[in-house]
Amino acid sequence: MIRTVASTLLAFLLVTPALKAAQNAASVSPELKQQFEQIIGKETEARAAAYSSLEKSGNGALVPALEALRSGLLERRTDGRLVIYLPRIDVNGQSMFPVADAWTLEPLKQADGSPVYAAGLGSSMLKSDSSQADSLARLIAVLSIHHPNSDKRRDAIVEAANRADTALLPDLQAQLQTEPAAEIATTLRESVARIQLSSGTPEERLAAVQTLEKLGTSRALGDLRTALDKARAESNTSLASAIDGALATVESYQWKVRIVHHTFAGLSLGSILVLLALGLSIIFGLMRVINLAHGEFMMVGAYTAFVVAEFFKAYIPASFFDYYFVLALPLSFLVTGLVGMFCEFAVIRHLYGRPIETLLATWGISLLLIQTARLIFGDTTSLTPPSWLQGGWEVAPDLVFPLNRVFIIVFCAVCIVGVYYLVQRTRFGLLLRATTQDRPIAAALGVPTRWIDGLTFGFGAGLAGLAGAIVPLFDKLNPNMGQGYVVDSFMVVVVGGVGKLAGAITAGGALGFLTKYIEPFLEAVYGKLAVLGLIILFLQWRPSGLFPHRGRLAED
Amino acid sequence: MATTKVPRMVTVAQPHTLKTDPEIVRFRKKAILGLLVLAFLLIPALNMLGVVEPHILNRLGRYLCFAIAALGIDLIWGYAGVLSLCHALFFCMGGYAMAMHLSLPEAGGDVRPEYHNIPQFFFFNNVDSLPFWWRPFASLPFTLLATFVLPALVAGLVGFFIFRNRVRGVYFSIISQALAWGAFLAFSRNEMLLGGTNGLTNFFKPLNSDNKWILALYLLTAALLVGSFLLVRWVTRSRLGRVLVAVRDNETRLYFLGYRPDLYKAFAFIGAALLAALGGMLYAPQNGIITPNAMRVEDSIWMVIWVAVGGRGRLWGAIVGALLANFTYSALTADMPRAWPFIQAGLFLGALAFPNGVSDLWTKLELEVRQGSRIFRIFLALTFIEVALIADKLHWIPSFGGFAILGVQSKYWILIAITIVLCVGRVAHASIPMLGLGWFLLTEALGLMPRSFSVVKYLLVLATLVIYAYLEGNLTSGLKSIIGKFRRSGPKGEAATVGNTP
Repeated sequence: MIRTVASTLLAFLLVTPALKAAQNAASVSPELKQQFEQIIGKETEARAAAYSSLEKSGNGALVPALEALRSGLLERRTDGRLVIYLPRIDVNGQSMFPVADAWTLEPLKQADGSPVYAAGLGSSMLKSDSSQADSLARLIAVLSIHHPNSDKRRDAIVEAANRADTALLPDLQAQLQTEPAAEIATTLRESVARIQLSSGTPEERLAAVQTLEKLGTSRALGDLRTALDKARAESNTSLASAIDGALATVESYQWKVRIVHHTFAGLSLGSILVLLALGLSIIFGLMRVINLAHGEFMMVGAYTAFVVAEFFKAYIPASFFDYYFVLALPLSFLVTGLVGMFCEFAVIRHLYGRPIETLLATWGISLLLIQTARLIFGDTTSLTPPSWLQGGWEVAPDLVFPLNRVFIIVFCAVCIVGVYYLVQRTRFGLLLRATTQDRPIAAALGVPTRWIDGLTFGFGAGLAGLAGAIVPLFDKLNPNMGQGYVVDSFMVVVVGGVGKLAGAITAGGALGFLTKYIEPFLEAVYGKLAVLGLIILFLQWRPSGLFPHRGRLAED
Repeated sequence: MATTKVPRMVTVAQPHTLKTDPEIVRFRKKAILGLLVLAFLLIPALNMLGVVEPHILNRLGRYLCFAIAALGIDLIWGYAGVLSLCHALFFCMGGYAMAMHLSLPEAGGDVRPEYHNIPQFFFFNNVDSLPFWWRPFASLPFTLLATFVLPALVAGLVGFFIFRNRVRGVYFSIISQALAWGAFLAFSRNEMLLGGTNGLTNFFKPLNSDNKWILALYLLTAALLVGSFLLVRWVTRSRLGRVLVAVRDNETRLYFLGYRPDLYKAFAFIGAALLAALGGMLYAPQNGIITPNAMRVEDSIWMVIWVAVGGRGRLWGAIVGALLANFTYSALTADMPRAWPFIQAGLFLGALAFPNGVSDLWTKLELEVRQGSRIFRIFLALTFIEVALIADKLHWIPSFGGFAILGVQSKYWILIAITIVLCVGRVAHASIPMLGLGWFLLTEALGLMPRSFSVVKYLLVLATLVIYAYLEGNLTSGLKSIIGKFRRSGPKGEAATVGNTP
């Protein structure tokens, strides 16, 4: 079974980058190229004619060249080819422009096959003069509806509706016929409906209202309200009531979207907290050690991922950069686990039976780790997430789940299952549980309790490191990053009951949801305070947490 | 025979019998008298003579405020065994209350007509007049009342509700940590109208710049420190104090004996909060500003380390620890700022290796005095070097010798040499590190440390500690015993001194 899982995962990882790349397939006919030349040319009449015919062409592949012309990044090479200068990138320490063909967007290659870079703008850059600025902008706006890049396409489509640009209506409908991506088709329908709502015949408006009601996007709300006012002014009661109904439907749909959104955000926050709290809980359950350095272990994991990314940037070809993530996760676990084992061996071991001193000792360790990280890495660094985790997954209109958060949730779920499996089904887990329940008897039965201590501490630290490795997906790194999460994860441990996995999971989820639900009403800070107050109240009811130990273990 | 040579006993003696030994009692009385003379007569005199500069005295006053707060922490942690990580919060509550009073014009606060004669930050938050809850702070009696009532209220509520549910030990520490974190976030908000992250400032300027005011505040702080010390000592020596120790040792047993440990812990918590608030109240005028940055969790834990360094369970240990830790901090951040976090981490780990901190040294000293060792020479040496440094500060000692080692001029080395010569002889071994630490503390406190001593002073203090380790036995076995103390001193370890158990 493991092999199947592994091979599927591998296939998925290999295929996704390829899918991303297959987006630039559009072609420009020679006539269009000629008309483009006329735009750059000097004859005003030919220019005007060229503009209108290009607008009619509806060919989106022209847009990159047009935008380059507008920004002064278009050049005619000595062999007559038109090339575009792409945004600067870092090449061996210098920032250079990559150069690409204006029509096919393929990077230019030198004779030996290596890519061409330009250190600065060339001497023969083509520019459009200011009198053309308006026409050029209009042309770009029109053609962007057919842009090869989906994000730019979507932006142009929405912009067209925002402007209520009736002239573009035929273009939009034409694009609707040939649009490959489903989400953008929905956006197209929405924009067409919005334009028709503001400037169509009453029948068209009614049809538009029904379309918008079905789609339920938030962008439609403004248009619907203006249309409502207009309908009331025109005393068109049937239309007005239709719009009323549509508004009610859209608003309720939006409300549901918001709830799902908050739940999703709560789930993603909760899953990180759960991962951290699991480590804390296991360590505390076994060794009665509250590890104030847990946040710093998380930071160690995050910086390990950073180091792996830097290593990949320096030594591995750029096309494999995204795979650093696959290596960073297990490496973070291992490195942080080793750091944890070392701390246990050097310091914690000697303070057995003195929980408060251990707390202070771990605080000292955390200071050491923070300062060491500060000395090595400086104050703030950021990490580029792999490209296949960027962007979002659009489940329904207006309901976008950011892919990195989806990954976090899935990954944490996998880890939790893994921890459960490890603790309940493996020999190590058995020894761990035995030592937690009754240390002297376990020792008498031959369990190497000191080793278990060290391994467990390392394991808990490794879990924190894993949580740290995924934090860079949505946040910057700085040496103090652990401290924000650690207070929250302590609360999870306290609320969930110590030493119990179920408690940590339930409490983590609950606290994540609670925080995210309260946040829209109060600000983030007051939200945290409110959650803290609720926790203290909760502890009145259940002082030892949700799933406390019972019996002999109840006493410290 | 004139004197009986008592053989040196390896420690089996019970230090708690030292209390009743008449010779030790005399010794202690002499020490206390000396300290009081130093604090209330010598230091003010030196200040008025110009030897101790105003900003040095101001710093000493501030650190004495910390000492008052440390007394509270010793009460709650050293005696009752509850580690609370939110005392910096109570310290700041006292500080903020006094700061609110001081920033108002009725108390001489620096306000301008263009800001409507109220503290500046209101203007920048678009508030035109003083909120109603700020107004009572214009009167000093109300402020004094608020300084004590507010922290007591918060501590009482929090403590009562949390302790009532038998939330103990590390759970309580975590919750107090979360409380401190939350309060820090709240106080940093501008809407709270407490100055936001910039805090409250612009007090009556002479409070921390004019020598008269600085001296007055210092004396007030020192007097209140002595008063608090006596008060806390009275409490801990009463039956209440015994119950607190019982809470620390075995709370469950105490429940079964019919007591309510949660009430006692809540009492200790409130007491500690009040002491911290008192310290904070005196701190605000001497510091000139108070910000939320002083109430973070790190600051609370740092306070706990003062008590750990000085020796918990012994009240004067908290005072000594607070002074020692903070002067070390100010010295090190001036000389080696980037090394400070590592040294601080070292203090944490070291405080755990030596659970009784500096007070252990004093106990050893008293034991040796009882066995007949003399410490007069050490005292003489210390007096000599201090007087020499004072004279040097007044430029009465010319440079002579002409060489310099490690950046320190020869005259200082010669003075150090004389000091060492004065010590040679049969002196109590424990008095040597006390000389080193005492010299460091006193010189830093009085601002007499020559600038060039930047690294040398740490080497000198370390040298005294190394010599002590050597004298106590072989140096390597001393190191082994340090590690051994690490291992052995647990709940089943030697209970020779109060405050050994967690």
